[in-house]
Amino acid sequence: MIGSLLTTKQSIILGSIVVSTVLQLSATSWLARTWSTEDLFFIKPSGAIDTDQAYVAVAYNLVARQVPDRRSSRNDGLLFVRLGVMLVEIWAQATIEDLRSRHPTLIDPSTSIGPWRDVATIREYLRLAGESMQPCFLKAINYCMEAFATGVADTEDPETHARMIKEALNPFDFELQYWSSSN
Amino acid sequence: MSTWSHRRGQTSDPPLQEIGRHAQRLHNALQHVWYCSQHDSHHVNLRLDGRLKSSSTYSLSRSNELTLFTLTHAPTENADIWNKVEVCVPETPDTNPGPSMSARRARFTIGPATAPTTPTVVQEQTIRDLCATGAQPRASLSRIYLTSNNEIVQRSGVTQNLSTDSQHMRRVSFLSGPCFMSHSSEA
Repeated sequence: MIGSLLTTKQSIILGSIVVSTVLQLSATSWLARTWSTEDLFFIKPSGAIDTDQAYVAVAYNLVARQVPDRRSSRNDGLLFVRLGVMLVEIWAQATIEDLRSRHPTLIDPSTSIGPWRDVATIREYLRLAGESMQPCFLKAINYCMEAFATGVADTEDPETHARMIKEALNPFDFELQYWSSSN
Repeated sequence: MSTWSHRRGQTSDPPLQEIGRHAQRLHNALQHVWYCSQHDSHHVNLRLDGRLKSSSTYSLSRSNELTLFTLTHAPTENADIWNKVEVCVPETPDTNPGPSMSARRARFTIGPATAPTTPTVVQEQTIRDLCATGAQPRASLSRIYLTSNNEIVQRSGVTQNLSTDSQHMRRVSFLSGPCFMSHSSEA
């Protein structure tokens, strides 16, 4: 538990790191198919969190001397849904389940299971959040939803890399540059 | 391996592929560094590096080696003390053709340009128990190397520029609790 809200700038930094991480590590065993904000950790001595000190965790079991190969169950479509969920959770600073429990309108009764349930929640959240959400989050989340819905999401495809950088990562860069120049 | 300095947005970004490849090599290599008799499992955290951000160009080069990853590790996930290590990947491929028969080997490197050109003997030792290594004085363990043979080694005889912000830390999870569309405006 962090114990304090992230500032807008910290949220943007963390959003950028998460998108960048998917670009770098999605084809590796470091990221599980179900990678989520609950797998994000901050190693901190004390005080406020440092968003530059975000980690993903892996446990090495000595009995098998290995960990399960997370790549074998990788599904890039689901990975993009999870990335969209993570970005919503980072922005809202609450889990998607918390958001649903607080705001039943985020639940679409016609899509009760599977990734489409998360997609429905995300779309409704974006509608409600509207202009209060930083544009970088809005653009990146919309890209994730589109990549999942159109079925063209393949994180090992260079074209997908390039598009993801343009649509999901560069908006964070742009806003970080704004924050840097305005402070 | 070429110098990793590329324009962003190119359709074939070697850094992304290379970083992912090295990350997988590191993940695999870490499976073989826990020959520890004291703990049933070990927990490793890989720092998520937004190295692609905030610049239209980026370079990962640092002299003749790349510090690609930062890890923290501990025997338990709720540990109060985490050992922090930087993982370097040699920029030029290791010419050693196969796994070493001995856990120790030596190589020669030329020192910095401003120093006398006397070769420096660099001893490499394959790490078999990173957990035990963590109990050694910090100066000997803060930087480890991932070789082209997918071994994790530590080197002696090289000057180490060490960070000091490790040890007594706690791993904390993300999310403090439900809120909705409320943000601190503090920059």
